Amino acid sequence: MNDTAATKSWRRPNDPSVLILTSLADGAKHGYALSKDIEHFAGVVLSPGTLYGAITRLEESGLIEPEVEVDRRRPYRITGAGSIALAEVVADMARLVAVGSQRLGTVTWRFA
Amino acid sequence: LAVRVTRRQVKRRRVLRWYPAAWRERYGNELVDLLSDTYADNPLPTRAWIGIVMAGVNERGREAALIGRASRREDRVRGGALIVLAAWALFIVAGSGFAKYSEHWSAVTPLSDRTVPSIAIVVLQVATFVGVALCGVAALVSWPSFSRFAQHVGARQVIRLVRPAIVAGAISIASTAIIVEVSHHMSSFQRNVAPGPYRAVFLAWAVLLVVCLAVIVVTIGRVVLRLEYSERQLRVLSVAALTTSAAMSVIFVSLVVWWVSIAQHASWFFTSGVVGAPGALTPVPMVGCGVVMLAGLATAAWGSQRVVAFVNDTRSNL
Repeated sequence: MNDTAATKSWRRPNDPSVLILTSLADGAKHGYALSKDIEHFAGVVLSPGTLYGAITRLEESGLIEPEVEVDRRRPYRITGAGSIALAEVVADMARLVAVGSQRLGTVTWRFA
Repeated sequence: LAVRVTRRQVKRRRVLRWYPAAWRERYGNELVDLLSDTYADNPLPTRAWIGIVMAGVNERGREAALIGRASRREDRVRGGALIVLAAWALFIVAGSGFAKYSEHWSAVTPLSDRTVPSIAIVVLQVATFVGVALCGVAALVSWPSFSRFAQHVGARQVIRLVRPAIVAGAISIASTAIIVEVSHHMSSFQRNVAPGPYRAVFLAWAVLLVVCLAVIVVTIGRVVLRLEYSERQLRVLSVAALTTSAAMSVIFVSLVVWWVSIAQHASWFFTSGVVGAPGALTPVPMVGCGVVMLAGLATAAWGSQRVVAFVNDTRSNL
């Protein structure tokens, strides 16, 4: 995946796109399930407008894709490119956590 | 209960109108379902409603290539040129207000102090002429694309599309003709100084013109977004947009120079207009014009930034 400004711009841990990709990493979900899962694991409540804005951008970028509708709900799944992009974000965050922890002298983190 | 639920669903579906049609077609049902799942039978919280409105406007901006990076470079330069046109409309509003407010400045300014403000006014007028001419150039450049579009969709569709601008233009011309006719039967004192119905009518006319101008600009935007431009046309449009932005900067600087000069040497013009009387430095009309022009400059900078990216792309491809 190209490491352009466009893809880097959303690489903050609390960015809706990162939260959505993280949520979809363990399986497909529709809008409401995504919203609840994100609230559960990140404590962030995404407004419906924000959630669907981010879903639109991620689908345009080919990082997620829709599945067939189930009970009028359309689930989304992460694509290969989406998994790579999420892995890069997670690696960035892991480096940050490692440096921060080391400098604080609290926890020792090791990442491959 | 059934009626209430139906009404609520209808109301929820109504928020979708903030989104462009293509987006509604693709994601509209999903968003409405999400709202139903999240808020059940409760009314939509104001915060969520505002979020949806902002997201809808954002999607419209993206669709029109006014914001975002995903759109084609051709769309970006066209969107950038439209943003500059909107900025120019703000300058027309502020400039018209300034022209009316400053029309008798030389009568109360000492002869020896008129040079700088006179030069500022001349520069401002030349820059305005350049801006108007460039709008004409943009219209001429767009004409072949518009003709092709009109042939493709048919006259009825085109008339439906441009009708708001035609109506707004007709209202502007008719109301201006009435105001001019009425004012010809009044003295200068009645027109410029005396409070009363004429002032109220004049203000209402000014507001009407601003609304008509906004309608015309939006209609032009709706038309331009449907046109296909060649690379050469886009180059001309981008140069016209950047030069118009430069002209706006010149106009703003000229206005500031005129303002400072009059404030220094004939500040009574900003109050009673009586030579030697106590003056003011920041009269409300000038502050208003300045603020609107600053908003115009910020808008022009936003549009120019999108156009510059196109010009740089074109240069690197040569």
